[in-house]
Amino acid sequence: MAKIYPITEFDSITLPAMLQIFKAIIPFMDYDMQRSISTVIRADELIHTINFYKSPANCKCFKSCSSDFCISSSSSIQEILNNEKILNMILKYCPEEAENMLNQFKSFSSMSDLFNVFHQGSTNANGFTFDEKTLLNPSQQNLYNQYIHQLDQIDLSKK
Amino acid sequence: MSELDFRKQLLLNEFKSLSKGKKNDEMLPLIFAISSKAKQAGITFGPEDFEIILEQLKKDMSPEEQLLIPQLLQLLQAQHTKKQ
Repeated sequence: MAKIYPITEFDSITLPAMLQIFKAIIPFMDYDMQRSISTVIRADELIHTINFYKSPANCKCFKSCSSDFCISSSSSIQEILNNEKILNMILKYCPEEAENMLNQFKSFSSMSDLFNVFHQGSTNANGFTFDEKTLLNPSQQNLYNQYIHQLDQIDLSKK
Repeated sequence: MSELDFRKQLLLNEFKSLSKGKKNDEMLPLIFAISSKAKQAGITFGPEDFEIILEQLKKDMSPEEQLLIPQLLQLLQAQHTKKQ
């Protein structure tokens, strides 16, 4: 079954609901009517969008907006996709292939976080309070203990 | 080779030998165990050391996942530079 994409919050806030209804009817119109009505709708969308952005305060009405991260012209793709809120929102509108690619990025991003935890743990020996073992299931904890036992055989003390 | 480098090398060699034939879910406890031992011994790892670890992890990854490794390394390096 083809994926049904929801209307974006941007569309629902910047445009009147009536425009969505008209857009839903367009495919049922004959060619001439489609051509003229769709152009009028697009022009009307443009006018509504321009009016919406006349006031900077209007930007604050987006519920999905993340207050801790704001995309600017200097934001990299990685920075944007590393924001879970943004990534989850994008996924709703992605075709299947793009969704798979983004999901892969998401799992690698979690892996990267894990490596960062690992990195912080190994560079900040005194201030590190995170217990890595809480991330492991019982069989992995068992393995962890075995590895620790094996690693205890290596002499890492300063000579 | 400095004493720190030598001890780090010992740990990384141990990681290489212990990670042979291991699946990714078996690698996580190993990474944590190595991390814990390194912490105890006052050894720190940099992004170049992660390349060795990622090389081992790559063996159990699909070709698509492997293609994402350079991006992941870039991310790690960017994080590392930010912290310095």
